[in-house]
Amino acid sequence: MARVVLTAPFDARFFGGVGELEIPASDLFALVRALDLRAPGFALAVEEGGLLAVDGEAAADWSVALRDDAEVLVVPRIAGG
Amino acid sequence: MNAQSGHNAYRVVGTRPVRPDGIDKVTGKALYGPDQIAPNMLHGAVLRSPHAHARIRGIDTSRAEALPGVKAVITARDFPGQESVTFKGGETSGDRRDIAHNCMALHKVLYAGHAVAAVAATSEAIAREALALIVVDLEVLPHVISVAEAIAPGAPVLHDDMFTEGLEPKPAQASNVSATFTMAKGDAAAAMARAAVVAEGRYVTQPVHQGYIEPQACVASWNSDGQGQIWCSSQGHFDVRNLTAGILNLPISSLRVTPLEIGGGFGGKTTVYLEPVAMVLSRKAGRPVRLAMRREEVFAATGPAPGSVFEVRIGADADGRLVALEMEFWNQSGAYPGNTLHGGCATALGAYNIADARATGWDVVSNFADTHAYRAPGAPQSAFAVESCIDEIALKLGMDPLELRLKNAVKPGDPSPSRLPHGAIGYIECLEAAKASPHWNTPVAEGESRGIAGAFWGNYGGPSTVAVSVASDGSVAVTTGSPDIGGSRASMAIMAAETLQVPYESVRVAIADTASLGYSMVTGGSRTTFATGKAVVDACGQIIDSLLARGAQLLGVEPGEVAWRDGAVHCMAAGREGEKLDMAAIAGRVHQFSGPVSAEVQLNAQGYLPGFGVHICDVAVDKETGFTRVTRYTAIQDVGRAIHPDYVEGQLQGGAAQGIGWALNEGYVFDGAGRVDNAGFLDYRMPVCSDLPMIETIMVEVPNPAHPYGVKGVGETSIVPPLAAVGNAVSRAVGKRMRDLPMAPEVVHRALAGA
Amino acid sequence: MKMAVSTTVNGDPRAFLCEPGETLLEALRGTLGLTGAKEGCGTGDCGACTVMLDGEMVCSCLVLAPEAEGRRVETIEGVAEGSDLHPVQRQFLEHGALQCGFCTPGFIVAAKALLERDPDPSEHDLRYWLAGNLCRCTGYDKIVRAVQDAAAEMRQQARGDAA
Ligand code: FES
Ligand code: FES
Repeated sequence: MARVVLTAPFDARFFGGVGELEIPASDLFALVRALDLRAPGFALAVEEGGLLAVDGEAAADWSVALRDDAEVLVVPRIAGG
Repeated sequence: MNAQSGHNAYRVVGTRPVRPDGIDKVTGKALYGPDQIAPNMLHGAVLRSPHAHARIRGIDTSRAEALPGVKAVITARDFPGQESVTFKGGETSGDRRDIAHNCMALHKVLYAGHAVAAVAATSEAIAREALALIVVDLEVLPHVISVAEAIAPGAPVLHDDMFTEGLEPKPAQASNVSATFTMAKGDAAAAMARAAVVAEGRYVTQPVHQGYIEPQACVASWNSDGQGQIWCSSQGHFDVRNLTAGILNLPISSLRVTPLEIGGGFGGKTTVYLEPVAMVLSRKAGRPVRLAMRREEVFAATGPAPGSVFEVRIGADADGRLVALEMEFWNQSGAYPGNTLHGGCATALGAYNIADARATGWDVVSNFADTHAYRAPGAPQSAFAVESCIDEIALKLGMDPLELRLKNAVKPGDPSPSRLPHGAIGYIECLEAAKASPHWNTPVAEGESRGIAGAFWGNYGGPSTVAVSVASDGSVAVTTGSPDIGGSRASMAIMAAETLQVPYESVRVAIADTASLGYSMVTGGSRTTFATGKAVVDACGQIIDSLLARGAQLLGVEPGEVAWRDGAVHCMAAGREGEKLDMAAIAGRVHQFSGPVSAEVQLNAQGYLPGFGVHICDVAVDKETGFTRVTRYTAIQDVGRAIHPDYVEGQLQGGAAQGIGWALNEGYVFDGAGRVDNAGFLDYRMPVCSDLPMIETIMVEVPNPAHPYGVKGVGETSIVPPLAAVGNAVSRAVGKRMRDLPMAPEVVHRALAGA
Repeated sequence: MKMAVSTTVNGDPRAFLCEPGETLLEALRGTLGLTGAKEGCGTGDCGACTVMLDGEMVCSCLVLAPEAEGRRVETIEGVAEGSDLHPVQRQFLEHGALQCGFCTPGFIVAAKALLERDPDPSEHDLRYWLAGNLCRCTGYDKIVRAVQDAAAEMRQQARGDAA
């Protein structure tokens, strides 16, 4: 079970502000698919402008296996000028 | 040269060799966007709306088409699928429909300067003559420029399908507020109520332009078989390709974009304006087409940074510990949604440990050019508000403003705005360096005053592709997809030379066109030396591995019996020490091995760390005229590791100068019809040489463990502190808090009169 | 209609045709293929187009091409002697006094003109002489230092030549 910590704007926009969710997932692709089933449009939004961090480290590769007790943080991605 | 040099651990990193593109640039040989020509090329020109907001009822191009020498006239109707360009992901994110409509207005014009038609002709003079023959039937609509106008009840709405994102439930009515975003922790209101001192105020900044000296220009050629080519300067030609292909419904690989030297970008050259238009003209005319902007077009139609209104309160306890922050702000974006909410919030929360904080931003569109990044998007405006309040708190508590910051500054392990703990950041080190600096330790001169301000900026990493190959004589070619705006080719060569342990001069760096290498994201987000540099180092590591394996075979020893030293394979086998093979001896033998010695690395670089800076500014304010002169300025920044110190110092100095301009002089002025009234360098007054003192720099080096040489991004942070550093100095001179930018002489004069 | 202009560009005689209203900058960059002078504004406000006309510094965007008739034009392409860089060019490289480099040709032509009339300008004079040239990248610090060092180098060279 990965613990998913949702932050603005994703939390309010897709999950009614629950803050955290427990989701079984083998990797981040599976996790995002599972979240997208609950809240359609989430996958596209996070691909467009989200950053996923696993246990405090930004994830460069979503295909890396997730540990069972991983904490996944969903935050907006920004790149500047 | 004004910084410490050299790291004993390195031979090339930290030295200051001449950049590889240097001679071309001091002799006038370098080719920039406006310098490109193609055989049989046509010259184009773009017709722009004189009105800030209008509905397009019809466009009659027949008289223009009849003018001798005119080869193509186009409007939005000539763009394939302009109606339905949809939001797409992929490497280049962003709303392509907005970008398409910004290149050429379809139903409505949203700002004075918005393109409505374009012409290609045998000369630019004929093209401009033809523009005058195009009849555009416009129904002029009321327009909005300021945030107050744009959010007023009953305000004219720019986009009738725009419903504020981030509000639950979704609003029933369309408005000019494109999005809202909040970052919060704890209970800011309750903590504020307990604060011993509170500083608060309403801070207002105007839209400002990046002010790059090279106007946008391109040459495009699009054949009837669907294949196209573009030559242009940009911060990212792969993104120019992706955006243009997306807008034109073209397979991405059918379009090849060749990068030219870029004459400044600062965030403003991360999108497309002319390229899709030149492509459509070329397709219609069957010849290559050149389009170039004039300076007034650059001001009116390319993205400035948004203006802003910040309402902020910061509370501290009696010991100067910051306890609460409440902030609400409105970004005055242009015709399409901006992207500065997150940056504004993160900068407000990023530099200090404030347990209870809440920042809410609103992005508001209005009738001027689509806004874009200007170095650190959204951050300078936010830091202006926050760092001014902190200065006020210091004054109220009678505390040294530097000590107050030191007391509250974030350290590694403290929570960052994204809630991830901060990594190996160096804000404390910057503040300590400021405290020890010659500038801070020199008493303020008679009649002058001093301001100080800090900064946080998040930086970025992201995708890059790099190829490194060893020629048969042992010389090294590094190929990247990252445009070089401020000397990054030199940095790439340094990192490659350091890794390979070869002389700087034996490494040459080129920037590949989009058909010659995989994708690299824009040179932006302070990412190039970090992300592309990491790819260069990784690729050089692979080269070494390959040379070691081949060298062992040529020497007839075990793989474990060779070592890489001084750019050669050294034999470590017992009794054969001293034998070695240099790169030429191995790389030349392609026919006996699996192929040439080369390596390509693709990565999506993470582990970037935020940048922190501290700027100190002395000013002399003329009490009679209100004129402010900056008399001394020091920029201090944690750079991780300076690969080529000259170009790191240059980023610090350039950002500081731009920030000084933003603080004292620059700002869009609109006339009653919503047109930019100061669309030229005479009236939009950027700092010139005689306006500025030397800009001292102190590079603090707290290495980033996620980069082989410790690099942190440096390009953006330097524009974050100056607004408040100058503002705090002027406020202390005037004896009154200056909350409106620019602090032009008449503004300061009024403040002095009223004080 | 078109006008014929005979002029000297970087020491070479050049003849070209131009429209009466064409600027010298357009003629240089277009017909003559000398794209070293840049157009940053076209209104005399940025100095990127700076060239010398009969030994006087001008914004070539404000000079009409026909005005070059019978006169001497010197551009950035003529600053180096063959492959030998001028001290100002060399010091720009040594100091990293350019980032994007778009303003650099104008600055080099202007700085060389200054040092030819004043071999030892004060920082104040140097900054005011260069105030007609905009640079958005550097904050001018390294440009000023490069020109100061070029001046010192040229003074030393002049002393050497005199001795
Ligand atoms: S182009 Fe001539 S001064 Fe700017
Ligand atoms: S180096 Fe870019 S404008 Fe001067």
